[in-house]
Amino acid sequence: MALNLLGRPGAPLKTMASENEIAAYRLLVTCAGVESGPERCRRVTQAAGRICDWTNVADLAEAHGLAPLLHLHLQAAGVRPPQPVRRQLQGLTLRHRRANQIHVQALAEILPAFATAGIPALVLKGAALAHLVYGRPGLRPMRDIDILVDKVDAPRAQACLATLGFHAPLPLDGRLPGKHMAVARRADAGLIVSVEIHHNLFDAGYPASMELESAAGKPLCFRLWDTNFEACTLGYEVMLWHLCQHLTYNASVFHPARLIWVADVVAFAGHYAQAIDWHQIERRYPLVLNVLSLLDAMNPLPAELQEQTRLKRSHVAGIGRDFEGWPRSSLADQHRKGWSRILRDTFLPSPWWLRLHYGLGSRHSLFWHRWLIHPLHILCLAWQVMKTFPRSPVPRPPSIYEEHPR
Amino acid sequence: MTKTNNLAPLPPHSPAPPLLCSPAFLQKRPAPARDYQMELLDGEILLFHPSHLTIIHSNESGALIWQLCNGQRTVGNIVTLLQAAYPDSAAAIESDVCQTLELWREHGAIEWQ
Repeated sequence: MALNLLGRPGAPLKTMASENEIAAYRLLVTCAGVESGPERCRRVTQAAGRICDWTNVADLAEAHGLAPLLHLHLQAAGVRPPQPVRRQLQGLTLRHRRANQIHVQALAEILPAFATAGIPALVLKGAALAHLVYGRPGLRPMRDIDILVDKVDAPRAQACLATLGFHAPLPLDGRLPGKHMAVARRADAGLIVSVEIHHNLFDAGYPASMELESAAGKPLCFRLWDTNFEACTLGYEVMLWHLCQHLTYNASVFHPARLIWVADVVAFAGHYAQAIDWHQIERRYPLVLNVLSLLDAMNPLPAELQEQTRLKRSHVAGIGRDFEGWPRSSLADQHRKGWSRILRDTFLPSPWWLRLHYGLGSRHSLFWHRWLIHPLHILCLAWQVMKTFPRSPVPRPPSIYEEHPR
Repeated sequence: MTKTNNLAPLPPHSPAPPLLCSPAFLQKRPAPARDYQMELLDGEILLFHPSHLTIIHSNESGALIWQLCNGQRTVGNIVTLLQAAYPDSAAAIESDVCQTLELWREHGAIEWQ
């Protein structure tokens, strides 16, 4: 759901989101975090006060993975949306809570099975973050369970899932696919539980790469809810770097960035601000500071985190204004905008989006990315389309909204 | 997208629909459909399935009826138990129970054993 949030005064409105959509998006931005202090309550109340029509707010929140957090923060701030919206948020919160319980129960079966089989494993992303920083089941919706194992163990881990009743296909040619094995699925308590066995944090061909051996330096361990089983995930710095990579990679010309990924970065960095080695971050993972500076411009970071990171706040133009050009929408879908507008949206997207997509901080110069790197990126995509014309459209990566349908 | 269905509390003295509370209906044995759960959230009682879109809002009487649906008791047994526990509302209980169960059945939340 792409929203054009910061239209310049006087700019044509034909592709602009409505004032109400902007207000709804801004409310979600203020809810993209875990703690409910007085400052957040004040901002939530203020943002909620600008919403005239609540009809689609719960759907928008769900699309961004923020329905439980929106419900939490509205309650904490004492804001009561219209009853149908409140009930929709209640329902979504309950469903995510139950779905997470089912996911964690599955994890509590999988990890001991891996341990018995001698397969070292780290829990990635949502399942780990839900325990570590969100605190209660259900606040952090999980689509699936991501587990990182060693490359040599990946087929065995997949076979192990099959013994637990998952439909866990192995590659026919015996070669390891991309970054994870085929999604393993099993029906549990009325829900399809999906598990991805990763052997690398990133796709083959992506500039970054990390396998279990280097990712497991200083793992962060936690107890699975309602069990005595201890699971481990990436260490502080690698986790934060992975979350930032995930956010920038997915804020692409194809798909919009979901605000839950923003919440993940802010919540993790804020929760472990004291424990994170910020010198190491500065030295080895500068992307993290770049992303945090952008998120700070979007919604002020907690004071403690600002203090630790020593980020200087600076204005970023076009905050929240997503990519609106080709190939996000087909040319046919955009033709009413007119060619000049299509070209501008495609080749000159908002500075905020450019910075996020290319992992640039709020203070970096945009010159090369605006005038060379991004136009070249678009031209490469166009060339790929022309090479295969008329057989295939743009080689689009799987949408995060579509890859694991429930 | 989640569709929320609101089951408003039943009016206290609504006339009993003759078909719902027929002798045959009172002999049925309701049981929760697989994977449906009732939970309390923000002081409200909600009946839901983890992968279905519909959320059914209920009230305290609904929660009691849900707890009594075990596939063994008949609708008549449930009505009798509730009438014994709430003699002041005895007249309305039969129709309340029948209407609630029928609505839950329509949503797939209960099954007849």
